[in-house]
Amino acid sequence: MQITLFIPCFVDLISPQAGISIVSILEKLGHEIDFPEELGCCGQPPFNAGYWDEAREAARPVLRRLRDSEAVVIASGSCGAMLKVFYKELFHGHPEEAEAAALSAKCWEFTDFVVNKLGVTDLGASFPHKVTYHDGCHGLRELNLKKPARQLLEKVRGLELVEMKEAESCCGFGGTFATKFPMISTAMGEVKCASARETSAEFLISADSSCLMHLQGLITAQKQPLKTIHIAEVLTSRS
Amino acid sequence: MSAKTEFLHEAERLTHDLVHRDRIHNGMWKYYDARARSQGHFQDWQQARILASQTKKAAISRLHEHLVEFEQKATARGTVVHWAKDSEEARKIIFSILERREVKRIIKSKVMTSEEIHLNDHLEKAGYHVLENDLGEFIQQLRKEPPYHFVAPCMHLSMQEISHLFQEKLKTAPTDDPEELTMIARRFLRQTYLTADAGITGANFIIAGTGMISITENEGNARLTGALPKTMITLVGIEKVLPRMSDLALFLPMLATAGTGQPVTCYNTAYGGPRQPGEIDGPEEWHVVLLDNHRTALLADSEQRDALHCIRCGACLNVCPIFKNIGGLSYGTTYQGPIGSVITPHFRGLQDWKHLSGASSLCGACTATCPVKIDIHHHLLHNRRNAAREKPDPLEGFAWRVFARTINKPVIYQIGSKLARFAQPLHRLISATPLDPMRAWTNTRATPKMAAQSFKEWWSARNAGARTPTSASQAGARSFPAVSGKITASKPDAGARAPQTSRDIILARIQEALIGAAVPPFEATTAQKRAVLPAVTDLIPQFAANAEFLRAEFHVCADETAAKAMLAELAAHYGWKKIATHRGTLTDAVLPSSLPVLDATDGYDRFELEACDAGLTECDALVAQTGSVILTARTGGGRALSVLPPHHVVIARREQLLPDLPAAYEFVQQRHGAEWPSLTTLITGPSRTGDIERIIILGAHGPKKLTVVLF
Repeated sequence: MQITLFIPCFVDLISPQAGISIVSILEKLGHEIDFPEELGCCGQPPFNAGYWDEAREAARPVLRRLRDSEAVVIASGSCGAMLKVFYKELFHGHPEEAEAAALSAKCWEFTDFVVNKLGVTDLGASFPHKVTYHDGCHGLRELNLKKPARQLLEKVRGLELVEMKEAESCCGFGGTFATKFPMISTAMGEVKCASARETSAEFLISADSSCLMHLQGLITAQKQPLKTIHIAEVLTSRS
Repeated sequence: MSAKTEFLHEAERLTHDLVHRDRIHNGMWKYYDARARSQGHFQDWQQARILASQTKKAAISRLHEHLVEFEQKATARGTVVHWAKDSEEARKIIFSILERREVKRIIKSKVMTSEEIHLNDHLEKAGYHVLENDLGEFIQQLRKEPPYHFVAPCMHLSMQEISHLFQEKLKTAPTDDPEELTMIARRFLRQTYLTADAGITGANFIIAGTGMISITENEGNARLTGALPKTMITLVGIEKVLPRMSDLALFLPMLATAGTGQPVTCYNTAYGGPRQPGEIDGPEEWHVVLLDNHRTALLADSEQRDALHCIRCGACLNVCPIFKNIGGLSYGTTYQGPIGSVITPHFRGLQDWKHLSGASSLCGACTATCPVKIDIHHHLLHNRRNAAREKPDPLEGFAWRVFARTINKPVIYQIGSKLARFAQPLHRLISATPLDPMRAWTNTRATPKMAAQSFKEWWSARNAGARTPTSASQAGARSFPAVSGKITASKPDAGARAPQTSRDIILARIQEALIGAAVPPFEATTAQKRAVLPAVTDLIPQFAANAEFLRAEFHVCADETAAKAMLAELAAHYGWKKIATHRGTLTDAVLPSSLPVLDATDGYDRFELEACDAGLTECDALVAQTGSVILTARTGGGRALSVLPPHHVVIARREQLLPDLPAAYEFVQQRHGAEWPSLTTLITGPSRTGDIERIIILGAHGPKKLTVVLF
């Protein structure tokens, strides 16, 4: 199958390794990757800020470029929810309404795609560490993806998953919320990190690089004994 | 100071207060555990949410019809129904009642709508003596602080703080015993029930079909407020309608489960009028004030109309990470947390309160937990959109326009990312200093390190020359007019004579708001309710298990003689000196002969009743599913007998034990539907409160003990 890969801006610039790992996984499973290099952002930042005209303007090139794709895999639950769920609302009553609905039907968040579209859970990975998993809110509640990541991690050799309390509570990133209300965002992140540390896990895994960027920022600033890693990188680990 | 400035200031303060953070998070853990237990007993919680949400949606879509039906039915039994367009009119109505009735002392059970209209301030300024009697509200009143959480008003306070407060205001001795603190409040407030001239209550539901108001509470303070003062006033938002009494069988357990994690709240009382002919107590006058106060404006917003489904359970606050970190007072609103952030801009102005919709990570925990499926977090997004559309911020609007036009332009994106990478080492020099434009991030967080090679660079290096991207034209993107969330149809009665009374104005507002909103009527059938509510198998063992959980006593006796002996034993065991009762087949049969008795059948002296050790009553039915007793003013000896004495004893026959709540409400409907008593109450365990550090203390205002004797 030819898979169109949507790489969000923060994966591109801050954690490209997550994207590279996804490419390597999908290619290893025998698929061809189509990467739209010209796309930088799904338009979620202006959408969440309430500037929907601007969000539509940012989103139109995405809609156009992905029109003919067979399947679109998004390297983030958050941007995944934007393409799959929120485009339909954003373009409701606009000429692109039908196009947004058609795109929604073929969009997949990465872990969902591997488990539920490709039917694969064992990627031959080995990661002998104690870990805990953070559910990104958009993946969890907009896309209803509680299971796929855990199904994938279950098959990773040597990996011990310890669920933290409040695994489902928000890390506090929330896009521009993180800088518009930094004190609340920081407090939420601290609560999250404390829950993660209570499990005595070495790694905090997530399918969302944006959550990890925020949490890693806190962990580094506060010199906490915890490391963050994207799930795709875990799934390409060999030891 | 603007609402936003105040909000930012308080949020800054409380997010740094680690004692506050721990207290709120730990308090919520008690709620999560209790809620998981109660929700786990539902056979299908998700389906229950669907039924509840459909019921509310259908009810709201014919709100005017339900309100008129309520008014007719309530008025027929002597209730006075008032319509208030706004806060000012609601206060005027209440003041005129108080003046006419020559009221001086007022007691209030928990009334969030009164916070909305700032009633206490106005009453106190006018010289009335007003006392809140919900424990949490009482504490907040002593602190001169609004409720911190609309279900748990003082959850931010420690036992020590409450002890200090009582020492200072009530001159009591210091104590670190939550039971003693609760009893201090009980003793202090007890006399006020007996001497107040008027009681003001809120309401959880307006039951249109029977013309009733349903009040949910744990402490018994609302029951006492509705039992003893001569005048009762209920202030309720117009959106609280349920079409039928049978809907309570679904909504009461859902409200309790979502609200406090209880299977059912202690007292769920449906009031159907002032004292009726033949009844021994209850107010001479009962006034219900139906409050619009911008609710019809929200009703007109088809996109956010479902916010009016809210049953004020407070679950969205309990799961909200924002609420847990900034606390309830930071919001500066009557209704805190996610639902407050949705509705406050509609009630008090979008531009002044839009910051609350911004102060959310849009995580959606609120929506996932809401028992009536309000799309809470998406409405925060809708408020943001509406605010930006109505009055865009020039700077932010400009920034997003630039962003939108460049982010998907490869050349500009590339130059931008290269510049950013170049600037990153320089940024380190000013990071987290006042010069740093990114200090909102860097004050607390390390700057994300930009990768030496971006994904795109990696990709093109790998695929150099392999393929060229399709060159989609990105020029000429047009803007289209946005779709409004509001209904734009014309007025139904354009050209008609202008409405005169507030009642007509509110009803016209509702009708206009609801153009095109009609959904078919919906009633969850008994079978549908039974399929979602907790399962019932063996009646007596299940009632016994529930009674034990509720810390109620339950005795099953072989026959009437054994039941009479049991009563004598209870009298001896608890050392009763005098009990109160009403005459009836069952009470007459089991009444201990050796004991002085206050026979309240034809009335009672309230001070004498208060001094009795126990109140013995009959009931309509027992409910195995929840361990509840359901009784009416007619079957249970009036309003006060079952709540004023410190021990309530219920005598019932085996055949009165019904399986579940749907059966119980069907039963009372059949038995009393032709001529409703003024009170129907579902009693589930002895009176209790969790207002002090969420520690359950029995006997907050009502009976400390509940004993059910079955034969």
